[in-house]
Amino acid sequence: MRGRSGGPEIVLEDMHVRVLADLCGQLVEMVSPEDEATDPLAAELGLTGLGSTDVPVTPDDPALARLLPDAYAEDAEAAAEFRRYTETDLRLRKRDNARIVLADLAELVDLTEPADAEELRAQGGEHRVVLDPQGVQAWLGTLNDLRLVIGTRLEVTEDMEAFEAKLADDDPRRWLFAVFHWLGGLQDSLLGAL
Amino acid sequence: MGPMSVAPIEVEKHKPDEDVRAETPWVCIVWNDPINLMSYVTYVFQSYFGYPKKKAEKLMHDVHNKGRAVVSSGTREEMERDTTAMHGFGLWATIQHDK
Repeated sequence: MRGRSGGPEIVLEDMHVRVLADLCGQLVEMVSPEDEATDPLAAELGLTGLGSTDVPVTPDDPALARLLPDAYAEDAEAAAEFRRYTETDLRLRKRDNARIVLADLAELVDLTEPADAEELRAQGGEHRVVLDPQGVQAWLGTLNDLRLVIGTRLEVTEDMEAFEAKLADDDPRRWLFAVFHWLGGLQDSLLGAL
Repeated sequence: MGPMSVAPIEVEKHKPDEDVRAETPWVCIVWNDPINLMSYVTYVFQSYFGYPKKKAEKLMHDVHNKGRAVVSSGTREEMERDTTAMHGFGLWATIQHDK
């Protein structure tokens, strides 16, 4: 779908805005550099970690490891070296993307107001975001990062449907699967609008 | 890597001397994963590498069907740049010395 300005458009219901904002907030926290004192300018110039003697390692959390993968499959030393010079920048890029999406969402709904489920149902309002090229990149990247995190947590395989079908009706992962599919639909429709 | 991931296959170990390294190119490989949408992977190949849609789709199918595809080749520095970019998009990419 295209907005009046010609950019691709995303349509979200109130409830979706809040779910997505919550997920983006979690993503920001997850990808933020562990050393919060990291100098952003140094990171931009690729100068972080230069003085550090720590050997950077693949994150223990499989979802974070999927967002920040090893660049060398066969050479642990080269992978660590590469990580030392690039990981902070990659984390900041992903964080910036998620923050752009969060800022877009915050313009649609007052996210500081706690959501009242009854009220949300009563309003059922629809919101539209028209994206410029930078917004497209940020949204696609963030939707994908969220799918990677959720998909990894769900241990998604190629045979997703069979796996999902085996879950009990009250399995909490069913909700996560629903979110996962919804994010995929949103990403796919955005791609289709480009 | 999580248990659901198709782990990069153990590639043949090689310790080429520096002369050989300088002459032969490096490659950026994108690996299959069960999460990324085919439409998104095609979009990344088109938008980042500037590949025509047909080539981008062929590469995407190679990734999906064969488990991996070489998406670019060049100097080590160029391949590190491409790999970082792929990670930025959320694709699972590695750098390898082409043998």
